[in-house]
Amino acid sequence: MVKWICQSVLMAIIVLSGCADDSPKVKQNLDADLILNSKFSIPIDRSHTAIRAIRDSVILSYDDHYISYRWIAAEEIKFIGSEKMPYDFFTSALTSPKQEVEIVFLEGLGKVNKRAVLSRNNIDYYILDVERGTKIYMLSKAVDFVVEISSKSLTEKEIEKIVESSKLK
Amino acid sequence: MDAISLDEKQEFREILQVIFGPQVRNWDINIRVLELFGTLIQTSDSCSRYMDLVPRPFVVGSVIKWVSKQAREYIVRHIKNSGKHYLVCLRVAGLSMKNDFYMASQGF
Repeated sequence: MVKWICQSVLMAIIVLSGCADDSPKVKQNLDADLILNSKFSIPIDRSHTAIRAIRDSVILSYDDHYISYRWIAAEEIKFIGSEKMPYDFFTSALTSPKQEVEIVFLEGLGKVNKRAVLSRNNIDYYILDVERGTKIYMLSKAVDFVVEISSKSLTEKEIEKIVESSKLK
Repeated sequence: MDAISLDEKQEFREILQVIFGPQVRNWDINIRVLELFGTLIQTSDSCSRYMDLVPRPFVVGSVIKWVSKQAREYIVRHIKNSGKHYLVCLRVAGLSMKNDFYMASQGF
């Protein structure tokens, strides 16, 4: 139990960037970076009220919603029955699913409105509106896992910030 | 609502462990988790071929009456009789829902 908690914490290091100023005239910088598995650096808002680190996820709670950041590695893709690497599985499943396992995965998302597919800083983004909110899948050929960001209510501004400011370490 | 007994929680926990893995051992099985489970089993058309539809008395609209102990017992029996293929199929369909289940087990 202690070992995997330590592993979870080590795998998700929150780096505080920017500085706080006590002057009431200066707006406090609430930005920080969440670094997953030492590879993906993703901007987050420091106004979260709680952080949950579990085996393969970090979940940040805010006043009225939570945002979940999960890394999906090859072992999990194998667990569901695909021999593909995460990058290939998600690219195929989210663009033109052919294998049954890819089709079933897509069905599991429920009704999907694909909002955007784009690339920035060597990262591919699949931004989906699903019944349970918004999902962003971050994929890169340079990394052997995929990041899934989920939230019931991600604003356009938050999505834009993730896309424009996330980077590979 | 009929309270979920410890035995029932354990039965659902065993089912969810096949779908999501050993971390389910640490989940609290509550009504929110069961409602999500209902969403999962009714979402995938491909998986449903491994299991017959939940009969009408246990469904209101498209929502399973999880508050009813009778409904819960029926679902557990039905799933166990459907065989492992069904649960393995749900494993795929549930890939995107794992953290939803975890947060539901935390009461969110």
